[in-house]
Order: sequence, then structure tokens, then C-alpha cells
Amino acid sequence: MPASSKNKKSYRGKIYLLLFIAFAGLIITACVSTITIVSQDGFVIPGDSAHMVIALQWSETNFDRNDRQVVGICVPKAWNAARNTNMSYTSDAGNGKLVLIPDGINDPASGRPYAEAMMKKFGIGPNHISDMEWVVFWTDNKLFVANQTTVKGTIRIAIKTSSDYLSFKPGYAMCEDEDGLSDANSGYYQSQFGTCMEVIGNDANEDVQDFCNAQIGVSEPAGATENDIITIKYNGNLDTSTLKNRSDIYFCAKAFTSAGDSIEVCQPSAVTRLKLFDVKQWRIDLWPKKFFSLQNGVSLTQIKYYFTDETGTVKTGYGNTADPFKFNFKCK
Amino acid sequence: MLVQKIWLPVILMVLVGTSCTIKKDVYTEPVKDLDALWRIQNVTRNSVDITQFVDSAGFRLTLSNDNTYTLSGNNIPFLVSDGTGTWSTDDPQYPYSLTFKPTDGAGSFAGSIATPASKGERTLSITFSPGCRSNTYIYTFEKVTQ
Repeated sequence: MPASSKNKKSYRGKIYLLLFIAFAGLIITACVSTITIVSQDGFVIPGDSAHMVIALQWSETNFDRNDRQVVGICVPKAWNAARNTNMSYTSDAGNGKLVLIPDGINDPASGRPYAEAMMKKFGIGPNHISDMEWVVFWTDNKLFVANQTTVKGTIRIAIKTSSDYLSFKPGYAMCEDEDGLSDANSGYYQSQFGTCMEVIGNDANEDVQDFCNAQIGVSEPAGATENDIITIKYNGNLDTSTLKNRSDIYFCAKAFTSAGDSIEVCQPSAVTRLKLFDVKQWRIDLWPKKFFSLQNGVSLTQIKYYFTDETGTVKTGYGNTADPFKFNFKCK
Repeated sequence: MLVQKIWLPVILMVLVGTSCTIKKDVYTEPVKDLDALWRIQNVTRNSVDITQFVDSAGFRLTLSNDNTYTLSGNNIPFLVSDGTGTWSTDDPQYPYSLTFKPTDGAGSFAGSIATPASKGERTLSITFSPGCRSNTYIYTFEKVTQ
């Protein structure tokens, strides 16, 4: 008899503990956020403004709140969106502008700057080139929202684009400044990536940096000189030739100088061998000045390149054609 | 007797006066010992760690205490090329920038620096943009212990 009463007691104790945890969870869950992409320009002329409209909704479920809405966008670095973005909001809780979050204000969940925290949490989404950044804004005023209410808001974004020809999928994220990107409960933040936006002009000779589609050969950063480290990646998963089945992939390149000379480095060797970094994906990170043995003062305008096997006979070019991949040297 | 009367307070005054010495407890930031043989521990480009993909193993930078430097084995962009010259910091106690002047050339090249201690050892990180200004590199160095 005493033994069974003890069991009953411990059983009841467990139920109390579970109830306590459930209530604690409810108390912590103070807001639920959702983000919807309402519209986004499909085509933009380089240099014009790209427009996006997103709808936000957030609910306060446990107590009144008076805090700022934080909105991040993930766009190509070349746009310098921190300087070139206008963002405004209309909402049930008030209207105004969204301004860049001042330096020194961090995501309370990670203790890191919001831009860094969003890159860590959401990355570059479905994009294929990492030359992107999160730029994070917040409402110019705190917005008061009473407990048990849901607020709807609309964010209008206009970003003056650069002269670069590119296509990418913009990212959007939201949270509240008091919670940040907290994982203590679901619903504190949300992110979405849009469809592919093309920012392309009329110059057929201009290279288009395609963030949207996976490609056999990708280079970064987009802006570089011969005195940068450039990364060239080969994605064997997209190659239709037999090169992808080789264990070693080599870089075969011809560099063109501003004086009109060309320098070829195409001998399979330890210097030209790519490093495996993922399944059937290789990369080479090179310093063009050293790689092409440039004298001081010599600058490069372009590299044309292929990927080859150790014999140099199996060769992959742009889109599996006989044309080479190209990398243009210029600063953005 | 009169002499004794005078001497007693004088001795007491001297004793009181010398019993306390005023000690100024001023904390001074140590001069950062940058003169060492340095090798590269970590390389980032635009905040992305690319250490494992670049050839930085042979990079050796000697900063001597007579303010001369020697760089050898460099296979990645840096403020200066392999060779010798002089180095200086803007402030020995709170250095924010490190400047190199190569022997065989005009001009000087500066990067901003930080000198955090890691595992009890001082490390040196240099931030610079050798190519496009939009690309920022941070090389973190550790001392080569012989």
C-alpha cells in the first residue's frame, strides 16, 4: 500500500512538471511572425531601382509589446544596399520608415550583429553564388501592440541597383528587436526567398552573373583585380562530359593583360589542380598575380578558362560547349 | 634639556613623514610585442574562411625589434611582396595600423591590425584590401615557436 501511494505521488509529480513546462512555453511564446512576398520586380534595368513589397503579420500572445520590427534583405553585395535602399512601412500599429540598424546593436539571441546572424541562420537561400549579404533595417519607432492582437503591416522596398548585370533570388527576413532570431520557441522570426529577379541591360557583351541557376563553372568574388584571391568552382554534377568522373580536375587558363598580351597556364600540376570540397564539386583559389607570374605593374583584364583531366584531353567549357568560361577583372 | 625637547618632536615628525610613501598605482598597457617570426593561422575573404583552400603554409613574416622586416614564401596577396624593408606601428601600446616600407621600392603599405591573445599567446590579425576596395581580407598570424 505505501509503495503504490508513492508511485501515485511520483506520477502526479510528473504530470505537474509537464503542465508547468507547457505553461512556461506559452508564457515564453510572446509573438508569432509571418512574412509574405506580395510583389517583386521581375526585370530591372541595371542602375534603375528594384521594387519589392512584403506583407508582415505578427501576433502578441501573452503580453503587451512595444518594440521595433526588424526586416532584413539578402541581395548581391555589388548593390551596396545599406546605402541605396529606401524602406517604408504601413501597419495597424503605425506608419513610418525603416532605417539601417545602427552599429553596435546586435541580435539579442546570438549576440552578433543582425547581418551576420541572418547570414548564419538563413544563408543565401536558393542562390548559387555567395557574393550576397544580409542588410538589416528596423522601424524608426517602437510599435505598440496589445496582448492578444494581430498586427498586419506592409513593407515597401526600393533599392537603387548597380550597373552590374545579374540575376538572383532576393531574401527577406523579419523578427522583433526584443526577441531577435531566438529559437527558444518557433515563430520568433521568419524568412522567405523570392523568385529570380533579372537585372539585365541591352549590352550583349556584358557578362551576366547568374545567382539563380547552378552552373558548371562559377567564379567569385564578382569584383576583383589580379591582386585579389579569386575562387573558381567546378560543379561536376552539372557536367555532361566524363570529366566529372575523374578523381582529379585541373584548371586550364589564358589570362589577358591590359597591354594586350596573353599568358597561358594549362599544364596539369599541383598548382593547377582543384580541391574537392563537396560531392563532385571542386574549387581552386588563386592569386592571379602569382599564378600567371605577372611582373609588377602588369594588370589583367580577363581570364578564359576550361576544366580538364590530368591528360588535358577531356575538357569542359562553358555550358558544355567548346567556348571557355570567362572571368572579367573589374572593381564594383 | 632644551635640545632634547626640540629633538623629540623633530624625530617624531620625521618618523611620521617617512612612514607613508605615496605609491602611484598606474596601470600601463603593455607594449605589444610584435617583433617575432609570424606564420599564417587563418585567412578570411569578405568574412568567409578560405584558409583550407589557399596556399599559406610557407608564409613567414619576421618583424625584428630594429623595425626591419623580412617576408618569404608568400603565395597569397599581402601588403608587400617577398623581400625586406622596415615596419612601424602608429602606437606601440594601442597599435591600430601596421605600415611596411619595402627596401626596393617607393611608397608604404598599411593595414589595420588587432593583437588579441589566444591560448595565452599574442596573435596578430591584419585587415587589408590588396585588390578591389570591396574585398577585405583578414590574415591572422601566430608566432612560430622555435
